[in-house]
Order: sequence, then structure tokens, then C-alpha cells
Amino acid sequence: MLPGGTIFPLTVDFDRTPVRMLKLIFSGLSIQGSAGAPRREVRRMLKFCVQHNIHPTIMTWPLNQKGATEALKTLKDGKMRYRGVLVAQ
Amino acid sequence: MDVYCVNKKEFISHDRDEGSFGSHVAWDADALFIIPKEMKSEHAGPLMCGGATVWGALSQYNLKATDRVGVIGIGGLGHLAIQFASKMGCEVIAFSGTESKKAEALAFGATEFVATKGLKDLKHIGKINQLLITTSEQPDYDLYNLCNDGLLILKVP
Repeated sequence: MLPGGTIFPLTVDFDRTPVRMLKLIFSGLSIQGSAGAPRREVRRMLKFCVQHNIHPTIMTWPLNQKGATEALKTLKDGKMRYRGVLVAQ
Repeated sequence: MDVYCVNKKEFISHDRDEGSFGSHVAWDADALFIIPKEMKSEHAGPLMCGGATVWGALSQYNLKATDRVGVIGIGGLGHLAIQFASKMGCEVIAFSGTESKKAEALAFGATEFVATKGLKDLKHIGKINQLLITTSEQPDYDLYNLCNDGLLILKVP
């Protein structure tokens, strides 16, 4: 990390931080928590996505029991690229 | 910021009937988003959670276009973080366990790709300003030189 850098631990975790205090102090690092985004920023994100043609890479299944079962299997097998979406019929 | 509002009432912690699986639902318009007509509904879905999570980190904490942004873990969050940071003008260094996602990570806009499996350290990788950890489990912080024992030598006169 560059001095003054910021670490964003976005992984949901119930443990204590594994980062050493000394690293933070002597490199001036920050650990910045962040949960989701405020509504204003979600609106900006949607606009940004349209402007730059950004979209998630998804795998889709129909929104029914069979679709949900197959989607969960794909997730458990570690084969989801990169988000699974159940589409209402 | 509304996500940290002490009076918020949100899905799961306050209300399990938020209506996702219904045909119709009545909600306060302030809490809804208009999905742009150019965007498919199935693409908007993952943006509302995973997308907002990484966008929140990238948009609210003084990120600069000249920053080097590290993304650990290329999955639901990471693949969007790479695209966002890259389009914001940043250099993006994607870290993944193996080489399997290299081509995709570079296509998402990563400038560098690092397969961390078997690596003892990352000294050959240029340093990073902002590091987003988007893995499903915590990564090996030792590898990123964030938890090694700092040895402080004091000279006593």
C-alpha cells in the first residue's frame, strides 16, 4: 500500500480486523468501512453505467423452483459468472 | 447518509415482506430508483446490491483518476469494481487466486492482473492507493503486507 492509502474491507465478516495497527500507524493507512451506497449515489451509479455501457455479467434462470435450484447449485459449485439473476416470467 | 440512518427500517432487520416476489407493491417513491430505459431489468438487479457496495466505496472517499486501485477477488462485486474504477480513469490491479479469470479481468478494464496462488509476497507489484477487498472470505493479509509483525528497534542511550 502507498502511504495514506485506504483499505475497504467489503467482505461481510464477523471477525476482528486482521490488519496490524503498526501498519496503519507507520504508513498512515485507513481502513474505511462502507455498506452499500446512499440513494443519491445509487442514482449516479445507474447514470454512470448507461454513460459508459457498464453492466454486470450475469447468468439467468426463470424465477421458479427449478430455476432457483439450478442457480444455487451453480453458486455452490463456484461456477457463477458473476451474478445469478432469477427472471420473473 | 441514508444507509446509516439510525431510524431506518430495512429489509430483513425490520421488514421481511418487501415485495420482491410480488406482482405489485406500494412503496415510498423516495426509496425507489427509476431504472434507465437503456438498462435491462436483469442487469439493474445486481447493481442494486453488489454494484452499490463497490460504487459506495469508490465514489465517496476521495478517489482520484490518478489512483492505483486494487481489487482482491473477481466475483459479483469485484467484476463491477474493476469496470467502475477503470471507467473513472484509475489504474486497476486485479488480484485473483489463479489465472482462470485473467482474460475476463483485463476485458473488464484491469490494467494489471495478479494470480496470488503460490506467491510469497507482492514486492514486484506497484503500490496501491485504494484497496477493495471483495472476496467471499478474508484474503491472506500477510501477502498484502498488512499484518506482518513490524519490528520496532529502539536505541536506548
